[in-house]
Amino acid sequence: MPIDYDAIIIGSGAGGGPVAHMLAQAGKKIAIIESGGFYTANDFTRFELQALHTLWAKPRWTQNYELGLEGEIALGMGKSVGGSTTIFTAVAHRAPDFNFDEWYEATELENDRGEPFGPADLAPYYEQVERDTGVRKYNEWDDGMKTINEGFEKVGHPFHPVDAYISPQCDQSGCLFGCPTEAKRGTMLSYIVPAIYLGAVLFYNSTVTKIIISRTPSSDDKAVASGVEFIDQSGARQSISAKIIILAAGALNSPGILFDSGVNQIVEDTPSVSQIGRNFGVNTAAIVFGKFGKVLDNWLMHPLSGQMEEFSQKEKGGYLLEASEVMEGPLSFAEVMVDEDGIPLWGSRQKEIMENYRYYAGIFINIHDQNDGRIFRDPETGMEKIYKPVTFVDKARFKAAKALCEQGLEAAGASETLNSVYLSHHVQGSCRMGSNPRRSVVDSHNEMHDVDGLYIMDGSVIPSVIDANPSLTIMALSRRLGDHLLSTVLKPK
Amino acid sequence: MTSENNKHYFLTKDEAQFFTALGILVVPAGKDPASSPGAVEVGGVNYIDSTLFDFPKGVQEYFRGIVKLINEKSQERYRKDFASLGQPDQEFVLRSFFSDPLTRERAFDLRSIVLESFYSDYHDPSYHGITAWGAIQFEGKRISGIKKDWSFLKNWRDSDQQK
Repeated sequence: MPIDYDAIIIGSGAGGGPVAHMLAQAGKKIAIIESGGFYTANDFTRFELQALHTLWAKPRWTQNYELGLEGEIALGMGKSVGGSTTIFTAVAHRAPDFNFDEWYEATELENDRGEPFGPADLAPYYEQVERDTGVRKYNEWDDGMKTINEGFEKVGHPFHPVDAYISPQCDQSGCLFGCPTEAKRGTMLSYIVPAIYLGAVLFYNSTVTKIIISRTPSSDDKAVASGVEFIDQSGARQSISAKIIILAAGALNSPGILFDSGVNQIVEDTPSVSQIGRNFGVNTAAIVFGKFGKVLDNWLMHPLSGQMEEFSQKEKGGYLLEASEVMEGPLSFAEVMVDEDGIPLWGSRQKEIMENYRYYAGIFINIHDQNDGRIFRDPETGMEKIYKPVTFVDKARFKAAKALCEQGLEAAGASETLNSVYLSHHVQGSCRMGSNPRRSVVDSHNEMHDVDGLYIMDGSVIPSVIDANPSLTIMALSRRLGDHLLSTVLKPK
Repeated sequence: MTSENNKHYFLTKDEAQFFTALGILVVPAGKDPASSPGAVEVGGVNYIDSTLFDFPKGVQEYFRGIVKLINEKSQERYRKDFASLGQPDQEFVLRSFFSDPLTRERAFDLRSIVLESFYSDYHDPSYHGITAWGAIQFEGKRISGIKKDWSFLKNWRDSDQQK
């Protein structure tokens, strides 16, 4: 039977975008399947509700209470073409060098020379992505950021401008609801649209139901991926085949697609396959908002334009601070705020805070958590479950970070502070990459240890949580995969 | 519409009363409702009704189940439905829903839909007063004057047809 495509890529975000573009550029016949809609700059407005419904997936909550643990985390991600890069804050930092040591510790990830995989192995790919997406130092701080930084300078811990995928035409009109000026260079603009011009076929609003995996009749009897079944936007069932499949649905979704594809049964729960969904990390986050005595209108800005990384290494505190943040819209701001006991606010107290929304600016705390979470299917109900403990160590990191935030905000002139729920947009590690198949799902070039032709390329492959916004690292790994494929299985003849 | 005595598409009369009470609790009007309206003043119950009307059956039943559960808890403790309780008792019931890990996510979803019915800047087609964004002065470039298309809501679609 003829094969429809050279490659099918499931997902168009940070993991799927760069490799899709590279393969299309090399003349490969590719299909991209995206579960979300296809929206472009003209569709992106400050109508927050519409954006939350069309561009954001409904937050998924952890179910830690089933483990007898306190502290649930709201996990948010994008759901349109471009994935989370359409609604992200565009912070583009490389993983710090010390994270690579942790990667080797976690999964014994090695480079092609059999050495521990290190920063130099990813550096050329970081450079390519930075060039493709126009990463630059973002110096145009808004009033909220300047005000906050004044306070933190006083207490001896200044913020620094972030690197961002933002062109100079940014008019600071918001990032979280899609960029209306195309200043933000997510994967839709940088990779997917160019790939379409090069002939890539995009199926959007299409839900993958199964990756077709079967055992080969060959002597090694290894499982092989050969195609994808999905429901297209008209509701019709489609089945397409390809030489290789690249699963890039994100660290939250990829395990579920593998479970639905029956991979555990087909390869009979090998040590590697039993790792699917395990080792899940999220950079658990919380926001501390400060109320100031002057109007900041901090929603008219580029969120997260300053970063403080001096405490990010776990030995130094294990938290990364980013500012300034007020969620860009009143609905999201109202949703996340909690009282002193961590109970969501409502009623007249919340109303009063909302009526002073113009005076608030906040700081995002991302902690260095452990890869101790798990995404799995309940054996009785078949429903997906997510465990991601907020451990005593995590809580201690939050406590230290919050104390510093309160000190800095007070020095900046904030009269009171306000906390948020635990949340995360940095899901990672549920299908780790490594050279030891007992500790990882995919090998050092993203191919499943136990399924030929099935590659995973999204945040799920990151071996242990990184102390930076992960999108740049995911894109760099995606370019690295593109290089590998074009020099091996998809090598031009 | 669900019945002659009930002007809603999906909610029963009791459920509408529940969401009216919850709307007053979660997003109350200020002392002067004209300058500081709450969820009920702008028509938040109709937003919730129309939103639920278009939701898939499973989600409709999910929300219906939460309302039922909260009413059962209210009955268990106070022998009254949630809508008939005084505000301190309503506060207690809602807070206990958030405190119990087994019901926390459902409490979030319930609070979310009420917050949406106001802070999204929603208002009924017939309401011409100040709305959330005006009340909190959420404004500026690309915000002020933005056209919001509410036609995804059944009540707005029907209202447009009547024009």
